[in-house]
Amino acid sequence: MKADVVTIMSLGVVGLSALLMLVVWRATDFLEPFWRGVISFAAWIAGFAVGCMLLWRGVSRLRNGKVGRL
Amino acid sequence: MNILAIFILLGATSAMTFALLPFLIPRLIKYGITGLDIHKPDKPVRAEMGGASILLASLVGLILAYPLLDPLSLTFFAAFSTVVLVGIVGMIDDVVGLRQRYKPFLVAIASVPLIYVLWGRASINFPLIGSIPFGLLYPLLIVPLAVTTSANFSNILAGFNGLEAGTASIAIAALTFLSWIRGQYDASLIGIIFLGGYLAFLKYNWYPAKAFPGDTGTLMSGAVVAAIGLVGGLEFAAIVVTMPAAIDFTLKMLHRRPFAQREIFGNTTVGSDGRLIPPSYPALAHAFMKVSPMSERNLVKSILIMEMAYALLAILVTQFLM
Repeated sequence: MKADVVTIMSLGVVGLSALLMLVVWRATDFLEPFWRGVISFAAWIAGFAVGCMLLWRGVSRLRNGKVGRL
Repeated sequence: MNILAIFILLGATSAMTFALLPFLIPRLIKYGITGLDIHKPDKPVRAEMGGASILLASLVGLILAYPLLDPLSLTFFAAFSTVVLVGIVGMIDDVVGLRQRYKPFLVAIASVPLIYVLWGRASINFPLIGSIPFGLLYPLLIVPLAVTTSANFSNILAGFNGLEAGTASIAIAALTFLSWIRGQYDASLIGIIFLGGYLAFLKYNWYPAKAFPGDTGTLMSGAVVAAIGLVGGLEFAAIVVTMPAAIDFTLKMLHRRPFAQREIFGNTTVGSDGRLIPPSYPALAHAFMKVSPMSERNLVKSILIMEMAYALLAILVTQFLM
């Protein structure tokens, strides 16, 4: 089903934002664990929000007949 | 916890919900606790607050759990109390209509029993990262925030026949399974009691719906997910199963006027061929409809497949990366 593209795209958004959280966690090892956690979690949420915006744009492009390009 | 007790509890709560609904539905319609099924051409009136049957059946589950699984822990009672209190907030909202701004506040107050029993806990486990210590922020901020966020997310991803009961059943089943195999029996018991209710309610909520769960059913399902996640130490898994609702919430918040979209753009309408026509503001259901125009039944099936994908992801990540 074409609609499953949305599920796959959303899994990509969640996966990439979780990866961003992991990268930020590794990059901030000079901080206390509490602040590392807070900053990493904030990075995840920020990445997730940007990812959702891109998902909506992607869905809008698919609607304009560009499904075959995926 | 033995398998026989699990099946007795599941059977009892589902049978009770199933038995209560034919009694409850005509009375809810009689007292005007109803909603319009706006995604049908004739927009029929349906009973609202069907989630009350799940709430009542869970009390039967509690009474049965007492002799079956004695002794029940304080943690279980606290989690159960939180879920029931959130259900009561939902009932008040269904009957008298609470203002949007009061609902998160009241749900946060309902999480006080959980705050009490989880006072000593301070950290959350994340895959590939490990334990992140939050100190006193865990009981004072994360617990009420988790219950409020999860309950309101469940309330947002709703409005199509079978969607609320379906997503609740999948999310609760995944977390119950995880908590059971990890030996977190207090958490799994909460899940088993409410899973029976949501599965039975799905029969009445599935297309074409005879009853809607109302805020009683939606807020309570989010509270169950949060309660299992917090009590069972499965916070990350609870976040993952809540992802479809989180995506829906984030998409709706991306709009310039996130709380006035329905007033500006109107509701989803039904075409002459039975396919849904979405309004143009961002939302998860609208994303599915944009990619592939579909009927209400197929839309709900697509979102439930998505929920299953996230439930499977939560199980795999928790079992193999944590």
